[in-house]
Amino acid sequence: MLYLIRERAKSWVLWGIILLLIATFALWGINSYLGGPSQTKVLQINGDDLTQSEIDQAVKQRRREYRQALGDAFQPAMFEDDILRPMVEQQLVSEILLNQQVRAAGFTITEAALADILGQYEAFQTDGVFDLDRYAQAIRSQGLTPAEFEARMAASLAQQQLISGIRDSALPVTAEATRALQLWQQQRSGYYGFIDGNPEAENWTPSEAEIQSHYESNPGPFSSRETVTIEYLELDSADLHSVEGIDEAALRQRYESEIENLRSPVEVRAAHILLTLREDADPETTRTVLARAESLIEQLQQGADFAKLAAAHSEDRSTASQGGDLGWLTSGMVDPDLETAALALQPGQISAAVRTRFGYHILQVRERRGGEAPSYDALRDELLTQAEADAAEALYVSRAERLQALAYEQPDNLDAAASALELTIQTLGPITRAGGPGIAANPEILSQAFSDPVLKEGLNSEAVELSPGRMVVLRLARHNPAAVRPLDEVRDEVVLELRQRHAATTARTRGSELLAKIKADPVNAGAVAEAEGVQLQPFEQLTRTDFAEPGRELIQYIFSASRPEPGMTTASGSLLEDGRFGLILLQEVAVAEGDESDAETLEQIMASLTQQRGEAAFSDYLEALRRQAKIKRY
Amino acid sequence: MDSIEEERVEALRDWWRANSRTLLAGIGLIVVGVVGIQSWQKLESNKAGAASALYNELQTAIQSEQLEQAVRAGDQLLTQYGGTAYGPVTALLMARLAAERDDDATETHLNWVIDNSSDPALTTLAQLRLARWQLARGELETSRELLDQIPESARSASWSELEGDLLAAQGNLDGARAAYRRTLASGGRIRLGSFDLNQMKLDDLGLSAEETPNAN
Repeated sequence: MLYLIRERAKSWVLWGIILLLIATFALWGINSYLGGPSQTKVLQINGDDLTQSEIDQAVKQRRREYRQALGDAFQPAMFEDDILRPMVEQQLVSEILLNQQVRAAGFTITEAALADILGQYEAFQTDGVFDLDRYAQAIRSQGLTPAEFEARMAASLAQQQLISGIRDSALPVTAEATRALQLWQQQRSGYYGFIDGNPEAENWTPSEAEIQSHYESNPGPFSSRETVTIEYLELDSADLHSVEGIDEAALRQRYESEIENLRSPVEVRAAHILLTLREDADPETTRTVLARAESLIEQLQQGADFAKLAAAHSEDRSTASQGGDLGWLTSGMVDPDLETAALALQPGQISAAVRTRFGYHILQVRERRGGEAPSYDALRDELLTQAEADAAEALYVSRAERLQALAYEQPDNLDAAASALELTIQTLGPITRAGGPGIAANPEILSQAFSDPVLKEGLNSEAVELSPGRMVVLRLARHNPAAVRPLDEVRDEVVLELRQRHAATTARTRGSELLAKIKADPVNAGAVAEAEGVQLQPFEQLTRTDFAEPGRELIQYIFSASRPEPGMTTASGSLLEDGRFGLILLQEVAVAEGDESDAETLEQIMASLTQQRGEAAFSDYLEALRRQAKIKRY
Repeated sequence: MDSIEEERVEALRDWWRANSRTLLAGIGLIVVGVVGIQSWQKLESNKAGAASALYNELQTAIQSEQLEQAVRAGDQLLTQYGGTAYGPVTALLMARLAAERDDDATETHLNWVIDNSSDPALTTLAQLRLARWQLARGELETSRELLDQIPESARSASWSELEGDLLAAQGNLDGARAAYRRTLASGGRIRLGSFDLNQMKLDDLGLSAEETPNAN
């Protein structure tokens, strides 16, 4: 290699490489070359990778959030991976794009600003003041180091700066809000009527050929649904007889085995004298320092005052002036070796020299607390309840295992399992894929009942745990596949459907004809309609929110009808869902008279419009980032 | 062997004599370059840090509705650090503050973003907001011009909604109807109670001329 370099030292290629290396190290440091552990990559977004495990973790996290938010209403089937995953993936991509943009643009959170913000979190405070120990502890409980946490926090704050600049800057526009308010409060007046084809259709009978062809071309509605009847065994821990015969000796044993966990944690209040020593100190120096430590220990054992010696010799400046006092030591606060040594001491006792990465410590324990455990008598009742519950649980688990094993070993009947476990075979059905009464309401039961092994191969199902302590195994008793019912059985239904269609067609035809007539003589619209036998009803100052009369659907049509010129009428109409034709004669469109509450409503509308425009702006922004991005799927 | 080795050493020495100046000058240049880049980066990051602090001040003042303080922080940021990433977002927020007082500065700030933002998405956003603002003031033509400046790939539901508003204001009802239909088709919803503002605007235009069953 070196020989090669010498040979080609004049080559500009090499100089280029060297230059590039120097520049890279200078600008980005060596870290960029030492990547993390390799993982399955799913997406590459402008060069940044999104890995499978990141997505999996986010999916789990999202499901947990839904479960918490929905409580009992949570249905696992609605939050399967294949539903959640695409959504979560989208969100993660947005997040990454936003982060890249924020970094590239140069949004920055300075350390001072971050410290300021962290200092304001109550979770990190003791008596209203930022507490470094508490902070470190809170961060560690999240599985993060303070550096990681601070980096994440800074990234998220910088992101918020950009987001807020886009989302919170939408302009409040009074003219728009006023227009929205006017539309919302608009009032319309005129007449409406219905043209009903039903009376005529009742006297109309479809021909045999029509019936036949309608029946044949629409098999769906004239079929019976697929059903199954199932047999099942249910194991319920509530049915198990309470377990007896727990003797005193077993309870004693349980007490002994749990006593360590019940003890309150031991804490000691300790003081130390530190003689610093580098971790990589040579043996000579180590010996010297150790000798100094041992001479101090000897002085202490001969009755020297610890506080005075600490003040004079300790090299831990923060504690030396307080007599070396470290305060109450809780688990994890100091070096583990130091902690172990401190916990082994009784009040007043002096430790041997303890080596940590800081140097040699001499410890004295001043007070000691905790370590008490409750007596056997105080705990006996609780232990008994626990023991009984454990025994019942064990019994249920062993029976559940037997049920699963027997149902699997003898897959074509439930009798063996029933007699071995003294359970009764129960029957339920017919149930459809949409569910049924009792355990058939459980989606897991339904998916087992209609699964291939059960439905097609006639085997016992897998065990389904309905809830902790309740288990079901089922098999098929009877299967009724979906079938088209014979025409004779459904003839009435076919005729009814044809009549409804006929009524709608009649209404539409007559309605259109009437509209054409009104168009020819618009001034007498009302008279024309009544001459055709349409009963007209007035509507006056109708608003969008009046749902009662003349019905929500017609009101929608009234509010999308063309405005009339003053003194004129516009006619329009539409076939409604109930098969009638609704005729509308619109005479007036007006803005509601204002009252005092309007100013307040206007404010609310303006606030809501501004907010929604801000959100739309932000989603447009994300869309733009997505459009410009290079996203590659591995 | 020895002579070959000596020859090599000699050759190297010659090479060194001929090239040492260039080489040292090269290394010198690299060092100067790296130091230069790093101190430039440091300067930029100091600027960004100061701008970030001012921006936080602006946001806090907006949240606590201290208008004067907000405007002061915003103005200072734009004057001193307008060239950082904080320039455009600050101008957007300042435009809103001005709009709340129905102040012409709204236009100035939005125009500043249009002229100075290096982020095309923010430019589009400012153009759209300015167009909407001008429409509300009855400046239909300038509003239309702005709308047309937005590249086609960046025309979202908000764009077609504004186009609908503009065409309706110009009396082009067929065009407005088509624009609102496009808005609704691309998911542009604005909730107003249980109604949708864009649907209401479309409905209020009535049926188009061809569909009108009875035009008086």
